[in-house]
Amino acid sequence: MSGPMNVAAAKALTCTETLIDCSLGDWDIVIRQCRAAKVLAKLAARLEDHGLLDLIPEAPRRHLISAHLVARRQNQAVEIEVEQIRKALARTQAPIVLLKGAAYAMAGLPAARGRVFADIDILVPRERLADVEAALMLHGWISTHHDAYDQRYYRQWMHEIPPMQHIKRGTVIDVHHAITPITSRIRADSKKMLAAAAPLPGHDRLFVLAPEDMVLHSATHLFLEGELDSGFRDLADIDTLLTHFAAADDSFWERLMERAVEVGLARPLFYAFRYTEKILGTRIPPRIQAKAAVGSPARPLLSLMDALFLRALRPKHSTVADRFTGIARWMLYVRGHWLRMPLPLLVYHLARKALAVEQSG
Amino acid sequence: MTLRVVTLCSAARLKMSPLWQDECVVFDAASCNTYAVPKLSAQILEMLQAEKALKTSTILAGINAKGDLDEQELIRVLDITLEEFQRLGLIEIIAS
Amino acid sequence: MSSFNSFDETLSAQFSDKGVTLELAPFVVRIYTDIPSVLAGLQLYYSEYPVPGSSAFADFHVSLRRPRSAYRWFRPQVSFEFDGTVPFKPLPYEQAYPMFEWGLNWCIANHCHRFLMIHAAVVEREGCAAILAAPPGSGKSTLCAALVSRGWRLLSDELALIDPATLRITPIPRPIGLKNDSIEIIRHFNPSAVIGPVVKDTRKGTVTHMKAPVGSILRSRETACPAWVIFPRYERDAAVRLRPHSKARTVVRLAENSFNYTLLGAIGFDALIGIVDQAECYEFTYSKLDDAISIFADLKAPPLCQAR
Repeated sequence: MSGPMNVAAAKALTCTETLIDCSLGDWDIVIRQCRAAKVLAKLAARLEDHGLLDLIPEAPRRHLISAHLVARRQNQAVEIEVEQIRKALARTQAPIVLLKGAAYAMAGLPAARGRVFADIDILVPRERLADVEAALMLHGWISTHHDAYDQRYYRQWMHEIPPMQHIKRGTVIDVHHAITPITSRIRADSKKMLAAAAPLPGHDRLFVLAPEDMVLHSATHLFLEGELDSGFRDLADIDTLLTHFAAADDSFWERLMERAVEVGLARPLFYAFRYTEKILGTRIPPRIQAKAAVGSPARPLLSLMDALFLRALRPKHSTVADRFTGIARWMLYVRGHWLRMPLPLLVYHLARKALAVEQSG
Repeated sequence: MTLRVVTLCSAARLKMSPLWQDECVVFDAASCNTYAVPKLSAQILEMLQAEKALKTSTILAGINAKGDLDEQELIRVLDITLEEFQRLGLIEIIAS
Repeated sequence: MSSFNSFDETLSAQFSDKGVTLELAPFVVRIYTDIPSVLAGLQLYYSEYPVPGSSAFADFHVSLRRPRSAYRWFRPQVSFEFDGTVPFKPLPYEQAYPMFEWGLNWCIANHCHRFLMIHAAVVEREGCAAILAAPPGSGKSTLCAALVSRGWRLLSDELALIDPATLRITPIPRPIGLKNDSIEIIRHFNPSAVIGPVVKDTRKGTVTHMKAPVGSILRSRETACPAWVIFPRYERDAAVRLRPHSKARTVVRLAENSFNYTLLGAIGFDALIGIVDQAECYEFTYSKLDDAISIFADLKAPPLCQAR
């Protein structure tokens, strides 16, 4: 069994009790890395669980409490926003599956503790998408991407429609209609996952994915999409979900593994196991790791992936970057697009994005 | 006066300041909105916090317990106040 | 290096790499820059502040640098970084020093929710603090600069940091921002004030800063009791007037002027109620600073503050 990677934020989250011996100079690094990785409030929650928060020196503690208050407010706001979405979609009668942060918060999972979020993600059946989009527009959400190219890009190559923002509240919703893009080289059986979603008690028409599917969705999002700015936070989410579900149910690991093969997501699950263990020291039973190898890429590719992910999944901070970190992030971004669109289009898309950056910069 | 039944949207989410110079501050924790309201409005909200639902006639009797206020004027003010509370999302009028 | 008194141009390379650490109680800031106007500003305004060692915990790591874009050849710019993130668009290079002060305000307003933060100037006398809350353009900073020129202690010209548990105000004395006409008004009102270089054509107009009085810097660890909440308004040729203001409406106005009231939720509400309950609340109109000074000299501390 390997321990967490030698990154201050990873050590802080996994060996929380050792923080008590930290010098103020150590704390300087811990707070900065955790803030950059968006896990400062999560660290505050872990310290509270260990009964250590009050023993931390005043200067770093102030930042932990500040981050905790931000996360607490966001958790309250999510609850209010989800209710607004539910009301807005009442007439469509469509089932609404909450994804990621909103799901963790509404289902009361430990992964929601100290989690910060920017927007709310929902999944609806593909055939209800038009109704859902129309209902949201009727209730004040408008599309944030006005560019015709962006609109077409989303609708053709993504598994979600362009983000919509509420005119009055400024809140953003991402409406997904599948787990993976329509044309993705790795395609999940979204219908099966949607069918297995569990109703959220006390909330009519609201659902969350089944535990195994929740992990698989989180892993798919992190390891296939190529947006790794919050990669460390997302990895910590997976670690928390795995640890929580496995502790609650002995058969969880087996079911997770079987489900991954069933819905076609053995590859992202393999990566999730590999990198949560390497970076956060997540304890995955050896028999499960052996089974997960069915999702492994071939050796040379795996070495390349290690080189990329072990850099890009670190907190986005100067203290843990080396001279290859930037290129690693960029290559994973390109890979994310490569996985979902044909090569000529990929080249065109990247050129367009590069041009847009140059113009705005 | 039209007879109505009034409830607070969520009593647990309402906080009130002490009464200062016949005014009071009301805080709605759901929206984090803060309002300065006159004494009469504060009295109505306090009554609603104590009971689950109230008839408008009960509210009227409560704020005019001594019977020394002009009933017609009170009815007018109560109507305006309840409408305003409804607009702010503080109360629901569940029956007319 | 123990203070800026030994400041030397040749050290600027070192500032750029290792940074210079300043203790602006209650925060420690580490600044990385090689821009001469910023280094000169730091030396002018911050030479009396404690300088902790470079291994100490810093609340904020900020840097000011010339951004690496093609545009820099046409018109030099400066960009503010907060620990590797860039919260704002670059500004013209001449505005580097004001950008440092504005950037630092942003850092505090976005990361210090341990306090209820209100956009206000705060001055103190005998342990009692006056919170001067008002939107920009109402003469809040001018009045603040005048008061600290006549014996009031500067707690802040920008931010009231209120501890929700004790309701006391934590000082963060920094240079007072002056803009447009108020620069000459304060020069005239207090000829011994240390006022730095003037920067023109910023989004706030012509700006500069007045150095915080040394006494206020040295007492930056002494908290104060909020005794008065005052909404000042400069009105040309108006007679000076101090009128009691509704407490309930004071709470609403302070909430509107707060950076994190909504974020704190009930904690923020309880803190505001506590402060307004114990403080005297006023609206204040003035045109002449001398009149304002004499009205403020006559303010009586409310009972709850006297007891402390």
